[in-house]
Amino acid sequence: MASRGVMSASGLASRADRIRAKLQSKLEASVLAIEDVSHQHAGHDAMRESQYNGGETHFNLKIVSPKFEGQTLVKRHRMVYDLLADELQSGLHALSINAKTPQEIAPK
Amino acid sequence: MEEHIAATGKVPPGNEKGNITWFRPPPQKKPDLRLTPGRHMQLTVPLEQLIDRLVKENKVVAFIKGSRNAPLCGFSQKVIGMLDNQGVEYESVNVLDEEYNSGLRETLKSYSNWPTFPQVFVNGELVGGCDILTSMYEKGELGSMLK
Repeated sequence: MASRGVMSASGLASRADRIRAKLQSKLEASVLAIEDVSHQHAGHDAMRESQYNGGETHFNLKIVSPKFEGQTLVKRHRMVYDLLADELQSGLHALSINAKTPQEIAPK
Repeated sequence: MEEHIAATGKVPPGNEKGNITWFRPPPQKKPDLRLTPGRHMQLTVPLEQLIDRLVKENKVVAFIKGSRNAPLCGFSQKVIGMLDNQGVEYESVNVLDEEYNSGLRETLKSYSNWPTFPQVFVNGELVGGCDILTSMYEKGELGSMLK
């Protein structure tokens, strides 16, 4: 875990922080839960490659945003992936995305 | 053997006729598809075109990490499990196969505009990855889409 504290080029301490900042500003999310689950995947083969050193490769995202209104699931996921393109280029390996609109989570 | 039959009135387990435990192999799933004849062969058409034909000529195609018999990633495994569970015919492609699918990962990411694996295509259209399939599966929509 020694490499965990390394500062990234963009100045923010952790990938989770950067993900939060990027999604929050663009999606106007009312719920934004980010869970780092990299440790669950630490053993798998691809994670030995150098770009994945330092962990922060796998995250679970739960996002509720009005921007998802009228969008198919594929489009919602694409929106998230597009916003996080830099992270995916720089060692973020996989996301589990739960994308909902405020209406979808409203109690009926 | 005789003692056992005398004592129990039955043939000892594993000795009765019709016992296939030792000589019938377990049912094998279909082999994965390969996009190229091998890394040593120069491709005459761009890989992108091969992907395009593959997903348009097959109803359901799953691009996964590892083979369908032995997926190497939990998300791929889950996708294969859901597709198997629906009992539909589908093709699978191992994106980690560097010999027969060399360069596929990067090309497919740009072809589908989708940065992660697994990826499932139906009728030539990207349906999504593990999360989206799981969500459709839970809503009971997966079966009708694959038919």
